[in-house]
Amino acid sequence: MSKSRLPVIALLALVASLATGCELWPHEAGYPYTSVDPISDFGHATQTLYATITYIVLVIFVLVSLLLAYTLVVFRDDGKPGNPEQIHGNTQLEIGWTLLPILIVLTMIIPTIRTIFEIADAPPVGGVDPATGEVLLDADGKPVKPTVEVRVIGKRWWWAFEYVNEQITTGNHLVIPDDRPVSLLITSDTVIHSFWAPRIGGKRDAVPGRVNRLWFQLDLDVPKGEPEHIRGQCAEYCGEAHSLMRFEVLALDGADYEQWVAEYQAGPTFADASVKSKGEEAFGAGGCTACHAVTGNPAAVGAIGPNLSFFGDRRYLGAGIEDMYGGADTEAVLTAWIRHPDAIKPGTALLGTGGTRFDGMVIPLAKGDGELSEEDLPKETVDAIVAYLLAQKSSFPTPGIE
Amino acid sequence: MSTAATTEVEHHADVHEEEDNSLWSWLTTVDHKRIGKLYMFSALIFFAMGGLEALFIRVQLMYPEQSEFISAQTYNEMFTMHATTMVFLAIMPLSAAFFNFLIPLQIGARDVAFPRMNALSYWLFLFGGIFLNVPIFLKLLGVVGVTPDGGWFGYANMTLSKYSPGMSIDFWILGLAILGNSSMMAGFNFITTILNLRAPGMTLFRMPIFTWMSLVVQFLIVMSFPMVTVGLLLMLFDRSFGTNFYFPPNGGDPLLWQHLFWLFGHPEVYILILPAMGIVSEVLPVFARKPLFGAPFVIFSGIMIGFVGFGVWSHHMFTTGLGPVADAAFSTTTMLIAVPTAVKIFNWIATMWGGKISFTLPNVYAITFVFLFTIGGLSGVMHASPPVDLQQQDSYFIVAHFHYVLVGGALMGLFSGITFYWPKMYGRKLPDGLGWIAWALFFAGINVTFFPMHFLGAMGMIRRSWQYPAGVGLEGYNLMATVGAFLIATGFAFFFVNLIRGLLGAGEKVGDDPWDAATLEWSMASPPPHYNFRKLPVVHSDRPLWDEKHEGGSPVSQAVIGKDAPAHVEMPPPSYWPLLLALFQGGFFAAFLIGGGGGKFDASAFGTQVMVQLVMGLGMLFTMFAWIREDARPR
Repeated sequence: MSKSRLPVIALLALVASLATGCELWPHEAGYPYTSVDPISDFGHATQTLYATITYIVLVIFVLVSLLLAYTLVVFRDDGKPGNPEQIHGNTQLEIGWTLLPILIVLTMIIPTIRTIFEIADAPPVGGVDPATGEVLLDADGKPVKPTVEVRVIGKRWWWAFEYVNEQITTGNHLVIPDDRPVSLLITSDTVIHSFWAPRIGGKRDAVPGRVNRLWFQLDLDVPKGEPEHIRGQCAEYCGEAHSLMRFEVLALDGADYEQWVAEYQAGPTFADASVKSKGEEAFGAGGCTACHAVTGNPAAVGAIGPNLSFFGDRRYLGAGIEDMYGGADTEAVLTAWIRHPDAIKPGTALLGTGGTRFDGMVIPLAKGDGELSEEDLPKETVDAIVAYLLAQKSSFPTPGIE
Repeated sequence: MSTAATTEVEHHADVHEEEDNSLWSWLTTVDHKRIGKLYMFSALIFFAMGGLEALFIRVQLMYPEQSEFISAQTYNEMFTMHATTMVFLAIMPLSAAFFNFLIPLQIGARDVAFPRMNALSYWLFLFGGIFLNVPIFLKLLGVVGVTPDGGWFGYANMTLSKYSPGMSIDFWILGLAILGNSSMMAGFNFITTILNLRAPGMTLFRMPIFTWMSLVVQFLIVMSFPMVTVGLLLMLFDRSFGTNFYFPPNGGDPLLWQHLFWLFGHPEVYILILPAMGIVSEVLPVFARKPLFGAPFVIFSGIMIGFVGFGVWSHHMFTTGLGPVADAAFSTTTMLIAVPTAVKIFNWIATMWGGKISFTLPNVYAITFVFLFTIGGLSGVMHASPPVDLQQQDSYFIVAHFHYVLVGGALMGLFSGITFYWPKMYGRKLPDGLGWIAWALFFAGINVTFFPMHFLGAMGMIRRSWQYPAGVGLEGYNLMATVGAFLIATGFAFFFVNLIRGLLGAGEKVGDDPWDAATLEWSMASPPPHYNFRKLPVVHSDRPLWDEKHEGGSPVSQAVIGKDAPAHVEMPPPSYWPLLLALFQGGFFAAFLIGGGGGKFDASAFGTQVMVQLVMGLGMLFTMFAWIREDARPR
């Protein structure tokens, strides 16, 4: 008897634990990567469908489970002799429960296809009609803000963001306005990656040789001077450091965004001129310039590694992975990274050991172990580089930077 | 001499057949029942290895930002080999164990159509499996630095030599090619067996459901494996000879690999689940003491799943940007697969409805299948919708989904089959006590491990990630999943120990038909004599044995019809050529690594490769010739 009730008890226990113990929609508060609390029109379009389908599926699950549980309890062996009635089937009933799932599936297919075409629309052209040259106006008669176009390039293992019209390049640090559409042109020059900032919306693969577009308009009113920090990550397995390929997104108020563009185009300014001069010298001596670019530093034009202009705006190190302001000494964190990045992010330093295996970071002066010792790079040089990088701040650093 | 005495003698002759249990007899066996047992135990051992790899994964993910346990590289190797092992070396061969053991018994045949080829399939599977795992041992010995690390899906262009130098991916490619070869041969063998060797009166619609589902699976195998084989060959060419099928800078397209892989990979999903569905369709009716409700609907649903299964592959690629029309089309076909699946679930419940359900261990495993598979099926419907999939793809939600389908579904169905057919295989029931503990641990473990993964996915945790950030809400559920993984592992340990105890003679001794079942496999002694049927039965319905016992139908059980059978049954003799051919063929494949391995063509080693392959090729030719010349006529 106890055996015959075992599965029923187990089933009830599971349903109860699901009903009480779990939060169905993790909200942003403790879950910065949540995929079910979107802040863009694109995200909301998919979220509406996500929620609809989830509720349909949950109702089916509960009904089927109850039916199964009822069957198991009511028709358990009562120990009486004789066999039950031998029923081989019932055609009407079976046609019925063939048609029923078709109907249920239709309730999901129709909104699905509508949403597919809705999110596949081409993004608005921008501020000016390309045919007539006239400034486009919105419903209120105000000029339409031009769509921000950004090329997103997946690297091993970091992200390059190239603003097409603004001529700005950032590494692992995407800044977007809240008052106009943003159109991302996603591609890769290494292996397949996938761009996923879950709160903005679904992911798109970065496929070498192809460009995938993803466009959205934030429906979040960002207060002036208070950027909203959104997180993103690579979702497609891309090799050794796949799990450590993240990025930070800053949503800015429209006017702030325009100021941000102007500051980034002009390049970083330094309160202390010696930080700049010493830093530029060390940046060259350390070999950094071969791969990294910094606006305003004529020697630093490398494009193999992330653009390091306005490094002081970034809260995270090594493609969004290490919080430099999370309590530990920021300078020490950055120094440790420069000395031995492989210890924080495996796979970064190995390119120097043969040249073909990784498109990771080259450490020009490093020995085979990828570590830069005091002999390879003197302490003063590293300190100058650290000061040089951290001093480059715009008016809009990522929240969390003191 | 009285009639009763004759029956006695005949029946005992059936049961007490002296069996040759020497190693040589197992190496040269062509008996489908022995090959089935070989498949079963090999698969369970590979399953243990895959499970161990899963434990490495779960321990690494127990805490956020953990970097001391295993390195990122090792982690990537672990999930690659975990999936490859579970798909190709555990669940597929566990299904093959039942194809082998059951199909001839269920259709009233004395063996499969090509007994020696059947043995060859097994040996190739075994060598392919060992070959795939060789890099792990080489790494442990320090000979190579990396083992296969491209994921079970091996996405190009990352698996090309530029990003994956070294021999690891070559091991993976060649291993899968060998396994594909084995599966293809088995597929043709079983199709021929099912279509040609049925007992008199066993029409297609009188065939047991397991045989039906197996037939569908064999067609899926022979139609889908060639596609991945082509894909693997192109990859091997890209890696070894510098072709550019998948290499974008020279005009190749990595998405070509994804299409070829998923054209195989999605039917593969049904190759994994349909045999378990077949087993459940056998087990539930027996313990409800009713026929399967609407058997034709269940059969046609299976065929429908197999057919539509070829038209849904791109739902693995919704995020690659195929365009709205392709997304809409593949989304629709994918959702339509939910219809035949739902029909099956309703029919299983209707089978139990109005029955007298006894909760034996095999039946509880089968009910567990129905319940857990429903969860996995429903979450599958969710990402059949491309916009939803954009948020779920490559997140832990997908991991939750397919583990419910493959562990909660396929594996529970196969375990139901093992406990159900064990008495037929060994003449004893499995000891109950440990069996129940194992089931309880599985049931708890599966839900504790995989249910939280739905939430992890919704919270944005990506798959195949060595580390996840702290403080983003992922800690609790990950810890829970790790605890669950150990429950599953403990459950499997109990299950396996129970099987070993069973092998050593524990468990209640049973007769021909311990569960009061309905189909032909229960109509002869347990374990069956090597010729299965002393006299082939004449079948008059889809439940011949039930009709004999309960409806006064014409007899099919050997205890009744076997008594006026001829004294001698002709059976094919054992052969060592399958084993030899598999060795030469495995060697031929492995020799590719000499000249082309490591992602670069080595001209100096190429000579050695050609020589070795020449030897192996001549060996193959000689073996095949000897195979043809061998007198394999039944005697």
